[in-house]
Amino acid sequence: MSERSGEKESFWEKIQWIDTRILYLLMWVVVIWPLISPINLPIGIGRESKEYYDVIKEIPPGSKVVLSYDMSFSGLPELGPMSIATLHQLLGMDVKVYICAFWNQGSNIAADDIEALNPEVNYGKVYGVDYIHIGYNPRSEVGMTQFASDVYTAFPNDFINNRPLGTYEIMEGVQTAADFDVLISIESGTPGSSEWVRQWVQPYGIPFLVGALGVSVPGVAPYKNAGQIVAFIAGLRSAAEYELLAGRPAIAIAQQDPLSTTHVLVILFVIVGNLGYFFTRQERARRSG
Amino acid sequence: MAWYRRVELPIALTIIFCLFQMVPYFIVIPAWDGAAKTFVDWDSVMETFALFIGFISLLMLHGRSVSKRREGWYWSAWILVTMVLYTIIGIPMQSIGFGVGGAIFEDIRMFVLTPLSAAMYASLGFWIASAAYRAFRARTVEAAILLISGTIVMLANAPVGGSIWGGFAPLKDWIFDVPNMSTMRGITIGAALGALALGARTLMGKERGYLRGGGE
Repeated sequence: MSERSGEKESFWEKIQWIDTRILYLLMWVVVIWPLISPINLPIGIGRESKEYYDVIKEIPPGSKVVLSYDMSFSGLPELGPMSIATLHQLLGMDVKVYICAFWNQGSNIAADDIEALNPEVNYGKVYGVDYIHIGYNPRSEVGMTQFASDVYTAFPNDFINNRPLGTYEIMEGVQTAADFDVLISIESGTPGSSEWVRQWVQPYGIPFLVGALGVSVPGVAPYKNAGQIVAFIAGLRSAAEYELLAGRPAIAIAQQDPLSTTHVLVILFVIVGNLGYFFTRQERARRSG
Repeated sequence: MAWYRRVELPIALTIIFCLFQMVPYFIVIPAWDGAAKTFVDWDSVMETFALFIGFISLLMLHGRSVSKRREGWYWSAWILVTMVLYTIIGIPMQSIGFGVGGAIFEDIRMFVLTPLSAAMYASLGFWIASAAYRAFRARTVEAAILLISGTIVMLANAPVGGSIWGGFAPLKDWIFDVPNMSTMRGITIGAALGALALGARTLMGKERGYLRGGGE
């Protein structure tokens, strides 16, 4: 019985129904507090991020790598650190990088990453020779099919200068998916890994790496286990580990302390909620009999 | 009924175009392959039309809501204003700041769209915290297993977990590699078989859900 039915609520009943505003306030505090005063908990390197980093590191010189920004602004806090660290690692190697997007906002995010890294100054890379932003294709999985069969139909002009792709030196000898050596997709959802596996990995046997949201792990993991994805990182924790490995510590590492405090708070909420539930049940059982 | 209004026509077209896309996966016939690629290109034209239709139907839907002053009509008006304005700002005229790369377009993207999108996604954290507190209860053995697994994964995903106990990460890996993997494989294979059945029914003209709401 409770206050709603006329009887006074017990302590355990009350703690099951704490006002949502208090929960939100506590959540807000544990996000802000470590940002103002960092705890700097140590970040261990997990197997996924190590594998992802190593696979990229082992790409042979001269390889042609597609880096697809299949994400939106909403996924940026989690995926942004991965995409920029991946691009950083690729630009530091002797490989050709072909940046594209199958999510409309992905092409803008890619352009921002290029601007932030400034490949000409910081890596000695030349646009159109060592790397290129081939733009956005709005056609989801069909666009990936088209990209696989004819790059120039899927992406007629580049994103930065809006010039025909064929006029760039980096495009020499590139026609279909068979001409690329590695595919990397940083993705928010659909189109993403499933579509790439269907249209690129299975038909062309191209090694495929994925950077995904934390919630995508259960969906992506079976492809990894089946060998269709060579390596993947997912979530902010992996992004921070990868930033450390790639030698570009940035925003993901700064976000690790709020990640810890919020996770601890959620676990505390779960414990408190369950304690309330169990003791209330016991009280009810005692009263009834 | 005129021949062009008969339901058999779209069914026949669906079968023909499905076969054009399927055959190149199994047999290499250059002419067939070329035709299949051309049909893929046609698709982009049709999708562009679909986008235009979407724009028009949003205009009609929300325009009607505004003109009849339905409940929440001001939200419809706001959608119309932002949609039309951002469409105009998206026109590639960089000299006046419009289009991709234009100052106005990029400022709206960077300082309005990006933080709003990120804030929408981030607000999930608050809802999840509240939902975890209210709904994540060990009412049954299955719920208790789910709760313990979830807690282990959360602790393994945050640096604090590793600081408390180094065993959370291997436990999380086991949860992902064994129970999660087997379940997701089951779901994926089940969904693929379902898609296969749907494809076969579509090819045989038995699946009519895409035709005028599925009716004859």
